[in-house]
Amino acid sequence: MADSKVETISRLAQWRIENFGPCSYKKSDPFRLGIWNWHFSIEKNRYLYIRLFPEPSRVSKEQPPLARFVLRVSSPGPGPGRKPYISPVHERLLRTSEDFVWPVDSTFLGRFIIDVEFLDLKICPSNGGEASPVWPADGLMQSVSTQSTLRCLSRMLDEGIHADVTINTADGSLRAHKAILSATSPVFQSMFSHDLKEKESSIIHIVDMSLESCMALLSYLYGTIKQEDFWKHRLALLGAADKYDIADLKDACEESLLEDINSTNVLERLQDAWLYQLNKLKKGCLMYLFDFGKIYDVREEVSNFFRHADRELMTEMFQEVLTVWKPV
Amino acid sequence: MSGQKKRSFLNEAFKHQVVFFQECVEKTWKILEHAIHEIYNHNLSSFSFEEVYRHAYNMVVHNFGEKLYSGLLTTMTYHVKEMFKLIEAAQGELFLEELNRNWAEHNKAVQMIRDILVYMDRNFIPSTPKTPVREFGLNLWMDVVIDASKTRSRLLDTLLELVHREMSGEVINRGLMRNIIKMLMDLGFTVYQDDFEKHFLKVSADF
Repeated sequence: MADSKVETISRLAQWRIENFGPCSYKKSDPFRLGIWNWHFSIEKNRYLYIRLFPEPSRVSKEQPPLARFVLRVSSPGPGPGRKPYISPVHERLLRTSEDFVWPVDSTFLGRFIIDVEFLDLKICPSNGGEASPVWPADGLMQSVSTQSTLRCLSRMLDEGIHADVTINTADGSLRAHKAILSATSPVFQSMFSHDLKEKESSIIHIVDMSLESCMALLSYLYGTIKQEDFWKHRLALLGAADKYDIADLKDACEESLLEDINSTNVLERLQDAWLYQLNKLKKGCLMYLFDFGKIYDVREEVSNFFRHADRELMTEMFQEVLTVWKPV
Repeated sequence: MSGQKKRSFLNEAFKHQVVFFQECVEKTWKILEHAIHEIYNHNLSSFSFEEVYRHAYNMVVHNFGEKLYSGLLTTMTYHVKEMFKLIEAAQGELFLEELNRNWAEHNKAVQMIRDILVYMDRNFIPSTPKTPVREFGLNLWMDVVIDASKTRSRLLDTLLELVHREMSGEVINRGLMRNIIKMLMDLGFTVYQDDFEKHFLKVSADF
């Protein structure tokens, strides 16, 4: 039957009924909205009963819709027609055709239109708990906005859009933005606020970084860093994060350095952990050396290391030995 | 094999770095000391923040935080003592003006020094019983300037005289007065109360 089809657009579904007369019951074809297939049904009795319900299925059983909606019955076409009937806003958990029925005290016959507009649709978890919206408006918007912001930042860095500061590294120069640097590091913020050279000249001489690692730092600050660049420059990034007080980058470097401790780098890592006060990394290195007994693999290097290591660090290493070494 | 080579190379590099820094630490401190002098002389615009900050950072990272801190204390103390000489020498109402001007300059200097030595403030001082830069700056002003034998009574007399003059209908420099009162509040509420409020209330009651 042609007139059982329901058209949908956005959050609105519309059922145009061509001829409702002789039969006293009609059910629409299923229409899709949210994650469910829906049906309308109309039944003529004393009133015109309009029902709205999800198609019986696994989805509607396990994740029934919690809907907020408005229904409307009207006559088609132009002209004075009849005044439409508009329901109040309903908020219902809809599982079966018995969950919602709207009796319209009227004598709509022949051609008329039924609309449902969903103001909100939520998935009701079967095991209780908070219903989750089916249109993740905020989340979606946020991710779209985040993506486009990142693209903008990336262009600002790559194309130097309104760049207002030059960074001279040990082997080349880069262009960046005072605002971005200041927002990500309190040190840069102070640098541009006091009346020292940088404020006037807008040139920073970062002589203790190479061009490549400084580029990696900027791409981190502008949100475009690639994993491989991070990996390659993480020691330089750690130094910069420590120097310019960028806490989250420092944490990321520490996590990364913890992931690949081995006997060729453990002493160096320990030294870095000591230098930059990275307690987790220090603990990791000490465990690697003492709890796991790898100190025997690097004996030679350790004696060399002890010749130059900080006294306090050695004390800590000795404490660790005492903790691990429990003579029977 | 190659790993072995790399290892000893890294240890060498590290050793060099440490030895190198130990040799130039005196030079680094001289630069920083000069910078602190120039901050108090308002002559820092030829300095690069990055450079001064890097020197201070390197001293702390390479374990010379102690040297940096004690050097800072000596240099700051010198300047506050110099300021005190000017304040002490100022006569009459100029006394308040000189006090106010130097207090403002000292504050500005402390703020700048703190920003340049912020790494020391965050990463060295907390592990010691030492006083952070800003607090030290306040204490220093308190010890050298306010607690000096004659300052308190001079300050009190001058302020009360001003109050008296205003009550008698004279126009006084209210901005100056406000700044001085604010200084006393900044130094701690008890300073304000002991040095001024009590006496002020008494004089007002007498009036």
